[in-house]
Amino acid sequence: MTGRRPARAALAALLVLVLALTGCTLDGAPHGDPPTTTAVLPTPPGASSGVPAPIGIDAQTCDADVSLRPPATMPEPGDMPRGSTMRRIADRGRLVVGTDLGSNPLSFRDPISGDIEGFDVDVAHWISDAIFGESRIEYRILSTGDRIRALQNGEVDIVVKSMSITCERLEQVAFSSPYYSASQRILTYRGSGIRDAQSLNGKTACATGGATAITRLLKRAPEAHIVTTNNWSDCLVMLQQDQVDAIAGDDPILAGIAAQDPQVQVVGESLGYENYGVGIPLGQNDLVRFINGVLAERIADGSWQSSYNRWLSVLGPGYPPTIRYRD
Amino acid sequence: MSAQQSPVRSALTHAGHRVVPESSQANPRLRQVIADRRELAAMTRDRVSSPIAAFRFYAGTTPGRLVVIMLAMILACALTGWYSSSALSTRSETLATLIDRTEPLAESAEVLYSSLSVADAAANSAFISGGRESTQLRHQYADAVASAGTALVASADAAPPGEETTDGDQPAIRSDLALLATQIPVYTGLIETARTNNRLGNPVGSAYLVQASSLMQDQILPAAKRLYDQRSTAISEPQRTLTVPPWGVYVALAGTILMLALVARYLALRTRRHFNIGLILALASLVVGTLWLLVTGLTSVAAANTAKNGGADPLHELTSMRILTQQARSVETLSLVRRTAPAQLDQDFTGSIDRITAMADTLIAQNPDAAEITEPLEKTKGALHQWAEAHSGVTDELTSGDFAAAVDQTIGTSESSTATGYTAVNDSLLRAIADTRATFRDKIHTAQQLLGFTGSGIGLLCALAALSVVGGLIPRIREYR
Repeated sequence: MTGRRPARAALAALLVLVLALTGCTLDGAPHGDPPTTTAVLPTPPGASSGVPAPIGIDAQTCDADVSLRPPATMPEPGDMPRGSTMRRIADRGRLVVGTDLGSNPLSFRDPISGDIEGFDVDVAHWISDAIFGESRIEYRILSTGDRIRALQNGEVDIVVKSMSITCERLEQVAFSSPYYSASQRILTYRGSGIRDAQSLNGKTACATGGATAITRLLKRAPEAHIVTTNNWSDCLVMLQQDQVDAIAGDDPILAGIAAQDPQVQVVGESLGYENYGVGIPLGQNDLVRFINGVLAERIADGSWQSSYNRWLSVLGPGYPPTIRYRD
Repeated sequence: MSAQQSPVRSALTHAGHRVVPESSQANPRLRQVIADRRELAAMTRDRVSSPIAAFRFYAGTTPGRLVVIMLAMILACALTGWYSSSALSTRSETLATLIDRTEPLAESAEVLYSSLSVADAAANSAFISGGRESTQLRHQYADAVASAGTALVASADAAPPGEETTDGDQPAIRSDLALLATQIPVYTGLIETARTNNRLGNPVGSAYLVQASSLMQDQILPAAKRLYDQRSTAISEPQRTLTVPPWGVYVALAGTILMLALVARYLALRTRRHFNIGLILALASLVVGTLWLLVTGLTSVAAANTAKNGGADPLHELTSMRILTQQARSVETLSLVRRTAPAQLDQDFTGSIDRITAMADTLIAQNPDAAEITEPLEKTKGALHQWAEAHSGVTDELTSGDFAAAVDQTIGTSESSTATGYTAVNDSLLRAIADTRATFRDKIHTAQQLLGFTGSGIGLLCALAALSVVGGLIPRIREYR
């Protein structure tokens, strides 16, 4: 037995050597990479990140909510005073209103009827009714960032599109008295662990370009990434495509978004309040006074409350904002 | 003297005499004989030792010269025949590839490009009809997406991943195809999400539709356009080489004919016969071959030119017109979805319509005699006019705020709706495209058949010429035996 050991060892060594040599000579067949790739989800047109937040909010340098006093007697519909801005609009035959279609329930197109509807749109209808005695409106779709430009170059007569009254904006355009006072909050998926603005640190939040909610959010969560879009519907698209974690915005808009997706909810306390006003080109004080008169009339006759109940009752009971005038 | 002695002695000894020159003043006649013999002996020695020299010797004789001439002529005829038939069949194969491969690829790219445009326009139309689009619109969209899918597979046929080509643009084609293959499903997914939300009454539907449409306009359609441009220029490439006559074949034939003529003249001088039937026959077959080539060459070039001017070029224009039609329709319908500032979209629409009309006018002016182009194009122009009128009606309705009427006149089936105008334009363009394509393929097929037959024919005629040369020269050579 002992004599055969070296022989076995030699045989084993030879076997190992042969196998090793075989292994060396045998290269695997050349193989390319499998044709896998990663999907790149498209983002809505106009979506961008890293856009600087609007400045100058919450540091009011003026009394923004005070607007011009309405005329003592409102002109009759269809009989605007000569030379007034309202007369020019009446002569043209239609009121050009800047708004958007993705801000359910403030302004949106009803997919069934095709009509543009919402709380903002009701305000536009009041103004049109006061000028023409009927609804003669031509809508121009504006993204949030385009609102001021459209007013300045005369593309639209008025903007009714959840436009907050700020001191900064007051230097560029005129505003009516506030017609709605909105609270800014956060919308996110149920069960996402996001409970308030602070938990958005390191996460991504969406808002429309130039929205004041961005500034307020960044104050509470400086590490949050902000994506801005052209309109609020695009934020919901990005949320549903998992491209953002939350949407920061005014509660009527968030309520409208929540109504379209049962998986989301509005969370956290208010980041701040925004007063919506009708945007009017600078220098058209007659129109500002006229619209303030229309708003005061509609608040007084209950139209405001019925509009609120129709569009915004999900937010709980609502009251018209307090109005202060200057002469 | 001694150096001179030995060859002379051996020669004279061989003759059976022993003649020893006694002095330098030998008989001059004898010296002549000796010189002649010496020369003969040297020649014999050379002939035995070197085949080349032997050949040169033999070629110097008349029968030898005839054999050499015969072999040279056979070689010339065979080479000319081989060269002509292979040159012409290469051309014929180029054309066959054009019909069997290049043109179908261009067609797939065209179908892909226009199907995607149709799908986009149909999706927008379906969206503005509210939650329930018409069955016809739904089918139009579904068919367009399905056609785009099959056309994409057909387009990908020619571009396997590692294909070695001299074409430097191949990687670009690959990446465009990959983009199309990955983004079309994303697009259809977005459209379905838009559709579902639209049906549920969620305004977010329009955001999905706008996202889908911008994906289509900004990424998918440009990729499809690049693919189409690549593939449709590939059609014109082989035609460029085809319109150059096969000069090489002409030179070879002319050279062989010249050689035959010279040989005939040589024979007429050397023999008492003025004509050699074989050579005449050979000359005749080569002349027939040349004439044949001349005729088919001209005919095939003419056919190829018609294919280009009356087929490929108008086809490209017509396809562009059809794409513009879809784009105009997309713009028109999308403006109802978005209600953006009408001025901008109207400008886009009017711009597209004007361009289509201008292209139609140019095509009609360029092909005044081609009824298959002018007739549908005249119809297209009429339909364009009607469409533009219906469109301005829609714009008026939108301006006055009557959205419902605008939608009805955009997607309704009435005579005055833009949908009717669009369908008429699209249909007549489709007909023109089908006819033009048939023209192109027919003409290229004709040219290909002509060239293929001519190639084989000239090959056969050259073989006949070679045989005739043999038949004509063998009897002459035999006369010397």
